[in-house]
Amino acid sequence: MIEVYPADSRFHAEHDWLRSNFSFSFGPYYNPDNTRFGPMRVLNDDFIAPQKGFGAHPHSDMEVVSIVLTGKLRHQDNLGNVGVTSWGEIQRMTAGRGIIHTEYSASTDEELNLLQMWFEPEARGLEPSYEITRFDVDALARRWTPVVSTDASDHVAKIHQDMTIYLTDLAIGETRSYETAATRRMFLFVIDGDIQVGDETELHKRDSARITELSKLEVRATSPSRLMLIDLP
Amino acid sequence: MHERLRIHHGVGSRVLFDSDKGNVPFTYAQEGSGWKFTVQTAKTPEIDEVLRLKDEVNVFIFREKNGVAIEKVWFYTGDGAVDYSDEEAALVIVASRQIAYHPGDFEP
Repeated sequence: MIEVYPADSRFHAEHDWLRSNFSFSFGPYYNPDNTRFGPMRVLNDDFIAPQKGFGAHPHSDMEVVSIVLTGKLRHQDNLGNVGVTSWGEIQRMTAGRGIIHTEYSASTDEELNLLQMWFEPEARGLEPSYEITRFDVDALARRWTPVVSTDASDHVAKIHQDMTIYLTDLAIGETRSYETAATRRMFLFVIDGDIQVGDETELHKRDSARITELSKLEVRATSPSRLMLIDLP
Repeated sequence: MHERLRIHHGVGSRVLFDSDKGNVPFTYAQEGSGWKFTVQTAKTPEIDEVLRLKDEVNVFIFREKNGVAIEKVWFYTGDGAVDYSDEEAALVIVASRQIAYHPGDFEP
């Protein structure tokens, strides 16, 4: 089953320095039928003005993944970590038993656009941790490139959940297929471009699809596209 | 120094409870290696919502001067308990860990 969530169906919040689009219930937006997709709890598509951001606040028992699309994201936390993330890098934070951090746009003139995702971990009370990993941007044009996974490596951030986040780029007319167990979930998000999924489903920029009971996915780009695919339980 | 108990939803920080609203009396004290909060309140719809979301709440003590929080203490309840005691007519929260911080901490 493929459930399509158009970009404009997301909850939109606007402040003087922040525009947010919530794919799931978050803060002021509460829809009891839209609180999760398996362990996935949050996907916020945030646009943050230069030098602005979120002051000190806590997290616990969540795996927080940030993918910066434009601009720079600066993180600082009570563990002593300070990091700046930009496109080509992944920021992963295991909140576990608790972490306090700030998140700011480190750009002086460019808007920060980031995708921030929260996933429930496989266990509660984990040791808090933070990392930045760098993936091979050129590989995106060749394959679904894992950038976050339970099977971590030098270029793949570690997540404490049985899941993998992939990114890929498609040229117009190019197709990419993906196979997984039919018992798994797939979350597909169009970062940029337009695609066709299977024979009938069209997705456009910032649309998403929640896919269940399907073992093979085939996507075809109808314009140059950048996609995120999450394979999760 | 005024102390205020606040309970937020951990997903998006929606405020679920604020002791200043209605001047709800509460106490908290160290108990073993953790902390126990007792909030004297009826089981209102607000408390029902705290209980529904008990696995993902952020519990804070805001220490305020002139209405401004100068220190915040966050308590981890992930392996503790958030329950309503009919016997005590109170919301009872047990936390295992705390982190104190200040609003300006970790700024660029």
